[in-house]
Amino acid sequence: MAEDPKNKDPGLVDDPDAPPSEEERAAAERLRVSLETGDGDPVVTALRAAHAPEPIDATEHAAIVARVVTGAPRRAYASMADAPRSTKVLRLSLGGAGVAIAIAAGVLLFLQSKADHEHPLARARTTQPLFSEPFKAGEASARIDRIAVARAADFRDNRFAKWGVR
Amino acid sequence: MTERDASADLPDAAPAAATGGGVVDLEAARRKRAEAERSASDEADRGLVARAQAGDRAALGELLHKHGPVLYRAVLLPRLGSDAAAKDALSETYAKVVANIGRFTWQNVGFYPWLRTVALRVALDQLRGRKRVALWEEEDLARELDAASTTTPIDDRLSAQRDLDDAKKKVDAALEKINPRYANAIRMRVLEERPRDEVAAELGVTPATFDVLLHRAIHALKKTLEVKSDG
Repeated sequence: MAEDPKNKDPGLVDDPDAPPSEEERAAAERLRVSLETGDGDPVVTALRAAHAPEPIDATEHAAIVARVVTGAPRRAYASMADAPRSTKVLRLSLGGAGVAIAIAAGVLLFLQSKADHEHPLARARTTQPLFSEPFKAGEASARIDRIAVARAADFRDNRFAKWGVR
Repeated sequence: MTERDASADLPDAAPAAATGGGVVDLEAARRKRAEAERSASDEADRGLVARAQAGDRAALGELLHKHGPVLYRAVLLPRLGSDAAAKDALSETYAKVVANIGRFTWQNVGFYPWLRTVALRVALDQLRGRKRVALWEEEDLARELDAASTTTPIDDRLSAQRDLDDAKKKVDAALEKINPRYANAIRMRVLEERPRDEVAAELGVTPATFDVLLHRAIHALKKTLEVKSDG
């Protein structure tokens, strides 16, 4: 207490009960606001990250996985956190579109692969098994109809398999 | 009741726990079921790893979906101290996994220990490359990496819990180095997130005085962590 608090560096006061300087008051107010707005002081953020780490947002995680798996360019989170607000808004907009594309690509890849693994697609093949006996002259339409119905079913099944809903 | 019976009827077996034998059966059944779940999960991972190594990106994606959130929360976020840094590290870890999945050899300890080691390496590189506020120092991470490569890997859930516990111990150790009154202020306001007025009242000061106290506490902690600023 013998030392004038005005002459001290605000960060160097080790006595919890020493009278604060104006600078200290201002810094304390900034800290109070940052705690209330969640726009954290780095030490506060690090403490909370170690003491009670929050889980990653599921959508954001899915986007990170999709980006890596599809080979899309990665997003720099740390540099974005340090960027000015206007830059953040622009990057967030572009990032949002990127995330949407990455998720869509990831989902498509996932469904396609799943469909390929679980449901083999129908392949082009002979029509012979559709007919047990030869058609007579004048029955061409009936023959074409039977082939068309069978192939339409294959086509529908394949499409459902590709979508992963079969 | 045999272990098999207890395992099959676990939800209804609670009354048996009142007797001595019941407690033993129940605990054994719980362990057995956990073991079976682990084994099934490892088997599923093994299949996914095989598919991923054959070039199936969707299988690789499934592996990352399954293990990534735990890795982020238990390993990367506590060590790197900010969600932005942890997400960058997670992204980098995944990129390394994609590049190196072909080199991974299944050794009956699951996929997570390998993933964790990759993540620790990435985190160590980040700590070396950038100066940031974090409770871990490079030497701490280097020691953890040594341990990861020399000790037998443990169960994924146990490993994650141990990582989370270690992180809390780091916080406690850091707080022990500062004035107990500062440590108290940080504990109540920052860690427990209790309201400012309530904490001020408990410490016997006005809210405005508490703000100053907390500011000093954070500065004192920063000094003990030997924080290096980016500038």
